[in-house]
Amino acid sequence: MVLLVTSDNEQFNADKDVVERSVLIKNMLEDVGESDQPIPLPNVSSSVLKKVLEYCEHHRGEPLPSADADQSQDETRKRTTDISEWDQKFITVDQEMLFEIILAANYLDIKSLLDVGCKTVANMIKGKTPEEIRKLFNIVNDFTPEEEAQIKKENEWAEDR
Amino acid sequence: MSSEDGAFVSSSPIALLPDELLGAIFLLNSLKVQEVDDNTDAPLHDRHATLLATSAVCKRWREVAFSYPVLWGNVIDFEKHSDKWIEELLRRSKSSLIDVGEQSAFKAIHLRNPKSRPILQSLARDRSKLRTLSLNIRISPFDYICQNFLQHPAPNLEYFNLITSSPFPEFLHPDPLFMDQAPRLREFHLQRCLVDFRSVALHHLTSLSVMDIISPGILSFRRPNHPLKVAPTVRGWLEILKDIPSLQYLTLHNAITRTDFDRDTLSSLKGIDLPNLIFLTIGAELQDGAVFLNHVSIPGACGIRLRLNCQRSSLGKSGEDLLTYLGQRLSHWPHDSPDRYLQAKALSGSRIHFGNSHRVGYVWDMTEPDVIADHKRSSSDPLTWLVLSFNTSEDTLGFFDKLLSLYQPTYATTTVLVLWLDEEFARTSNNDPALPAFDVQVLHSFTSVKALNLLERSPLYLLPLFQSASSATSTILPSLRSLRLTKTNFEDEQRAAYFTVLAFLFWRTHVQAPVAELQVIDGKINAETVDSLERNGNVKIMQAPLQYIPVDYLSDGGP
Repeated sequence: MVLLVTSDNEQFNADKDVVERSVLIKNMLEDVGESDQPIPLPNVSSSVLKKVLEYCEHHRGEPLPSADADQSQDETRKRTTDISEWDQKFITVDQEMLFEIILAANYLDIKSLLDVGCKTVANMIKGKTPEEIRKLFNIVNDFTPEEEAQIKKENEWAEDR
Repeated sequence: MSSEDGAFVSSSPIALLPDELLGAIFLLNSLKVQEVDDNTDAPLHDRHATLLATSAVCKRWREVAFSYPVLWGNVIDFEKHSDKWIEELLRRSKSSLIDVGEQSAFKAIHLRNPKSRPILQSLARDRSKLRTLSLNIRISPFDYICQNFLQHPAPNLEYFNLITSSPFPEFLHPDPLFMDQAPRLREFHLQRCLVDFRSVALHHLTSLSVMDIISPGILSFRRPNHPLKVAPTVRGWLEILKDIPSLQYLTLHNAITRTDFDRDTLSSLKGIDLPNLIFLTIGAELQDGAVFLNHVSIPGACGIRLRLNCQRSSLGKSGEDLLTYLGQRLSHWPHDSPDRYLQAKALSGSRIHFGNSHRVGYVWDMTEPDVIADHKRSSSDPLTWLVLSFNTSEDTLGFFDKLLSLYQPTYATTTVLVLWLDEEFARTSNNDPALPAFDVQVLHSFTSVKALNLLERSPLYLLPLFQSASSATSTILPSLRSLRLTKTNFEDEQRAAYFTVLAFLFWRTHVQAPVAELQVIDGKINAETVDSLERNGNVKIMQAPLQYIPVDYLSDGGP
């Protein structure tokens, strides 16, 4: 078992083969060797780590993506925005939690979870207008009227087939 | 930004994401591999529109979108966007690699009208960025393509496909391709145009496909000072291919100039080895095809698809050479592959279709890797598919019998047989001993066939044939449980199909090998006939439109 300590000081015990889906934790465990020392995760809160561990538990034993998988252009070109049914259900959370999970996956270096998170956001953006995207993510339109007019003109040009 | 605005922005959880994650999300929406509509095959979302919308959300998102040039290259639509916009998108794509069309000969970009030239000009300026160039063009831009693409180094080009729609042989490019500098080029496909296939740039190919570079009028265009105007002969191709041992997929269809082989010519040919070949497609005159095949050594597991015709020559030795070659191929097959599938068709027009492919017809709109993958799902044997054309029906039937005989060792585990004999081929030696005859005795070897597929009127003469050729101790197709009749008309005036099938079903019951299911595919049969056949023939009838039926279904003899 491995003891993890979150940013809000909660402690989680988890199986080694579960937490080792995180490349960060795997490397830390390899560095320190056999030890009862807790591993601090200052960038991950307890509520988020709980979700992350749920994901790692579900995918326990699955092959990890190779280290250079995301470097391969072929791999990149073949990626789709498909998400498995379980992952889809798992990632159906409020936006705050969704982005926290993405950040945690990025920090902990869990490629498959990061992928699920990014695909989810990509699917939310797909096919929407700028205004719909702003509304969906609560983003302010900070373009000046002149800039906006210029973008609009450019996009009209693009649509001129 | 005002503090009020700042507070508003910070309340957006997505603002927490660093630029690289935002960029990764934008990238996902720009990728060409996307979900498509099951019915129309159209993309479910417009990647280009999504990128434009994404980059118009706020200043930060715009900066991120512009700092990932690959996004802009990914969303260019070379068929729909204006030439000016394509130029702008290429500019925004900076040094990222560009795919013009997809890496499939079936997904080429069609450039067929005057607006194509400015697009080609933009691409020519960025030619060193091209990773994929897959074009289907009219005659006029070919010279432009030669001068602006084929005569220049292609440092990033991986896939090249050029299909022209004009009569050969005005198209050719005599100089070394890409100045012999295309280190990443792996797939090269040409249709109706010629290049110098000896070019060093082709030496590391894994896939080469050359189609339709022979035309009947070729001799009238032949100029002595332009040897490349003529497609290579067998000797030429052997010379070319010996330098490309990395080939995995090779297609030469209507691409071998005919040679009159005499003993000296043949003895001077040197064989070559293509040790990595996975799939070989040859479409040629039978003589050239047979000589080529017998001089190319390929792995036993390699799939082959042959379209050979001997309409301009006699069958003779070439036919024997082809049979010898096929015999060698068969010797590599596993001895007892389960659930073998065989299509054996002798068709009017002196044609034979023969082999273990489930696909039929001239066009297989699948890439070679997809064909092989599809075949592997249902067969342990290498894909072997023959389409042969002959001069006479006698030649056709004679060769058909020899093929059936050649394949005999595979019949004990063949569970699905598609036997289509047009009426002219259904005679047996009993009809007229002087004529070539269908060797019905070979059917006794099919001891495991559970499903038999017959076409149109063929049940009328084949089903009685099975009965007459059976003996008290040996019933033809003893394991038959499912009879599948395609495009058979049960409702003509004589109701011949009805009575023949019924007689066959009675006989099968009588010899204690009853048929359990009758599939009527795209046939003409009314409810009354169905009811009568089911009741009197003690058979379950299933009707279906003509479509691809999974082999699992057939090999089980039905559901």
